[in-house]
Amino acid sequence: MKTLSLATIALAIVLLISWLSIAFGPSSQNFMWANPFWNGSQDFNRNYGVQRLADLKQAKPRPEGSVLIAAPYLPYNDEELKLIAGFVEGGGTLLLMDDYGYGNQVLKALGLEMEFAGLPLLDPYITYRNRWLPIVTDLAPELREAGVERLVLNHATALVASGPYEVLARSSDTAFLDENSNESWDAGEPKGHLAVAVKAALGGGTVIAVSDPSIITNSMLGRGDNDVFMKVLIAQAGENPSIALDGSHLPKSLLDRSKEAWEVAQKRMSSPHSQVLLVGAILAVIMMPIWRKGADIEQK
Amino acid sequence: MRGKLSLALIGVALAFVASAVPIAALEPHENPDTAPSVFDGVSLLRKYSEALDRVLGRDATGVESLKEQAAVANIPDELRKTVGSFLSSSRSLAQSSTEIESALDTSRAMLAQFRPAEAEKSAGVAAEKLSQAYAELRVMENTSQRTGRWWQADSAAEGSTLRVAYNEVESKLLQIRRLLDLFSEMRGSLNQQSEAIAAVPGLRPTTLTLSVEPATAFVGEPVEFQGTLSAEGKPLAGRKVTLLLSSLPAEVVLTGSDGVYRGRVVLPYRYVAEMTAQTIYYPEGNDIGLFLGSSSPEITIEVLYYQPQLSLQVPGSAYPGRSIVIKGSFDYGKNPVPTARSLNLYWDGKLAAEEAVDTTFTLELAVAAETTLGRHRVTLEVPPQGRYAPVSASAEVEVTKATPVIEVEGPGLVLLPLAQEIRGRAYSSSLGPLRDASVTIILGSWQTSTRTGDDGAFSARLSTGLSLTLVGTQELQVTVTPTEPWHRNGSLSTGLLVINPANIAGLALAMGIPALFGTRQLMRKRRRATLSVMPPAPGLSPALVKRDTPPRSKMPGLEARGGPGEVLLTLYRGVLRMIQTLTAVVLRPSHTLREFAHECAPKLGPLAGYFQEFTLIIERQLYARHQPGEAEAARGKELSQRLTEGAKGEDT
Repeated sequence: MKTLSLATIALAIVLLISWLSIAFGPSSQNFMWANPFWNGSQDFNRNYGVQRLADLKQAKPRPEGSVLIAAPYLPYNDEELKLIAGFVEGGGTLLLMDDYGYGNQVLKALGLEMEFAGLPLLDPYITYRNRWLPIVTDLAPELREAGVERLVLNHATALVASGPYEVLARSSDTAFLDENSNESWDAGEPKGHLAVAVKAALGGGTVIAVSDPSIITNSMLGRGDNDVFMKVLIAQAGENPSIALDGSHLPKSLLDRSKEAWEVAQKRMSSPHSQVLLVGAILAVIMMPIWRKGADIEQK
Repeated sequence: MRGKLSLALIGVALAFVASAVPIAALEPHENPDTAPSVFDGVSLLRKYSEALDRVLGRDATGVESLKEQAAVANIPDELRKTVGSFLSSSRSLAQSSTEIESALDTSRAMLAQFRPAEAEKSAGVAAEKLSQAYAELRVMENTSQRTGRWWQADSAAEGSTLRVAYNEVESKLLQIRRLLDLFSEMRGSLNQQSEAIAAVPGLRPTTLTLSVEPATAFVGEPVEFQGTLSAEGKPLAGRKVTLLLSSLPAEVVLTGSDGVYRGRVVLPYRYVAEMTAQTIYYPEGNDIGLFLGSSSPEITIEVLYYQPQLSLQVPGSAYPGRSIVIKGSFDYGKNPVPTARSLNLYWDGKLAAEEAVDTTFTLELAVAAETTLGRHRVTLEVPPQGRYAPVSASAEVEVTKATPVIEVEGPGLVLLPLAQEIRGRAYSSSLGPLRDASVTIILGSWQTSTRTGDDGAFSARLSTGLSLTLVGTQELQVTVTPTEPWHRNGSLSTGLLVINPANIAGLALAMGIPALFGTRQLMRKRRRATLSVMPPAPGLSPALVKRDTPPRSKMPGLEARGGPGEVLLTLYRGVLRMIQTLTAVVLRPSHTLREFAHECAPKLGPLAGYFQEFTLIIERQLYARHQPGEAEAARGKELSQRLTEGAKGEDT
């Protein structure tokens, strides 16, 4: 009996610690909204009032005046691609930020003649600290007018656009796509003035492809004019747009999944039915000693 | 078994905790704060080469852009100043090269016109610029060597990319030095030619004079000019003299027999404050080899014209598909006002309208329905008209869509499953009602749609139904999709109190029945507990009526078995039964044992004390945490016996 009691107490403590970790512990996963460290997106999500979508089906049915940010590191299924296409054609603004993920799936599904190169964009000269952090100063007039002078990228790629789209930002003339992964430019490798942000009108909406999702991380948002750049892109959807981030295509750790599950549980607990059940359970706990007393009396 | 269970539970718990620990993944980025600084000598030297290419191409602007680029480049701090010096000197050299070439060209042209003095003057300018250029080149050579040493490019292996890049820089610097040397040689040659021309025997220098009347004139007005061409004081007749206005040929006249030339030139419609007038002569035909060329002194003509001010007023915002009114006016000051001015209206640089307007005017510009939202530029350009200089004005217009205001007159309270009448109006404060707009009304899972009328009003009946809702606020969402391109989609969310009487009644029943059942159960249990220590309800005092009736039970206590507690309870039950029979007092549910003993006391006489003592023992056993001992059991037996015997005595 003693062992069982000890195990029960241990289990309770462990569960309590787990719950505390889930509810209050920070995530360290890339791009996670609960991650306050350099690679999380907590600042962006807080500062911009971003709504997190656990599922693309949660996207606004009336997309005009809203922005959907997608940083797809997990593949889409056909239904999800249709949802995105419907969002754009319905007047929404899709901000597709990708480097080595599944952004091309979306571009193809939307029928746009552009793609993410999927190769590292390195710049040995116009760069922050090293060639993996290129600086972009070749910007469209609308960005310059809004106060964007330089972007700092982090392990980015480039966009190859053949359609009649507006290029918002290009790399410097020394940047290149490292096709053979030797971190140096070799003859034949695409070099100079490579597109890193492209805007395309589609249906009633707009697609803006950016070849580096790291811009929104806590450590990169404040670099250069990345923050203003994001504001300008988001403002394409109009005044005070609603902003949603597709969280369903970001890889999550078990902690992140637990956090999501906890959030879902919190939401469910706030429904009237759950509250009734909860009240019932509390009543049962309160009534238990009285029932026990009755049983004791009966026994005696 | 228990140990295994415990281990399993701990294992599950640990697995749960372990699952909550964050795990690292492959990074699509690196921490910029801790990223290592890695500089690239090859790319820097290639930038040097590029700068030198631009120097050779006389592209000072291009070099300037490289200098601006270097400000954000990843360059070691120790080299930043060196790089800056190299690029500054490159820019100066590119500029100097252009000026040297220009001066040499001028010198060459002067020589062709037999104007050796002017040719020499230009060659002097070229010499001065050349001196500056050599100084810049030396700076460039020094800084490139310093850069090469920092990267150890000069000692790098032959054929390595670093060495190749450095060699390329050195090679281009050498090319520039050769270019400057070439310029130097050309300058020397031109000097020699000037001297040679001046030294040709028999070549006579010429002199030109010039006067202009009036010295102040409106554009488009003629001015008279005249002067004399002479050689060593003797007039030259029948020679061509060219008038230059601000260095551009404007008129050619011939000298008369007295060497005097006269002419009239209309001031071109160049709306500048002043122009320079100068005449030149250079020998042609038979004059070649006889005379040297010459030029007159420059005379400044003050140019007059009317410069109106154009003011432009545009609305702060415009809407796709609607027109905007542009107001403007000319201010001519004290100058005469023209009857009308033609005007071009541009929208983002594209011609949108051409109009002839008066001093004040109003234009209407239709903004296309497909115009993108954001800032757009409206420009008015008024071309020159005679003495009236061109004028333009521009302003920015923010193209936006009006956000509709949605007013809803709905019920504050919704009773399910009754249908609800939802009325409302959609309009924008600036552009009026939304006509024929699609309206969607959603409450929970119920939805209906309608369209607005001409006044923007809408009305719809929202049918609700059964749901799991009990009571609470639910969001009523009204979304309006306008047909006009100048309106945005709009939506309004408001909380409505939704009550579902059917569910509330059902839940009340569902919760009430178990609660009632539980309470009754509890009451029943308590009563049973009380009744278990008393006999079944007795009849009316049979003991007092039937004196000869023998006791119904044997003497309590004789059959009592078990522990002291059980013995006492058994004895007390017997005594209770007996007392009730004896006194005809019924033990009611509301009675405590003590109250019962107290009520019976008057009828028991001297036995009352025994009964009350026994009752106290039993109460202690039942309601206190007291387990009776053998002594209390013996006392209980004794009391039971005395009561039994006393009752017998009373019977007899």
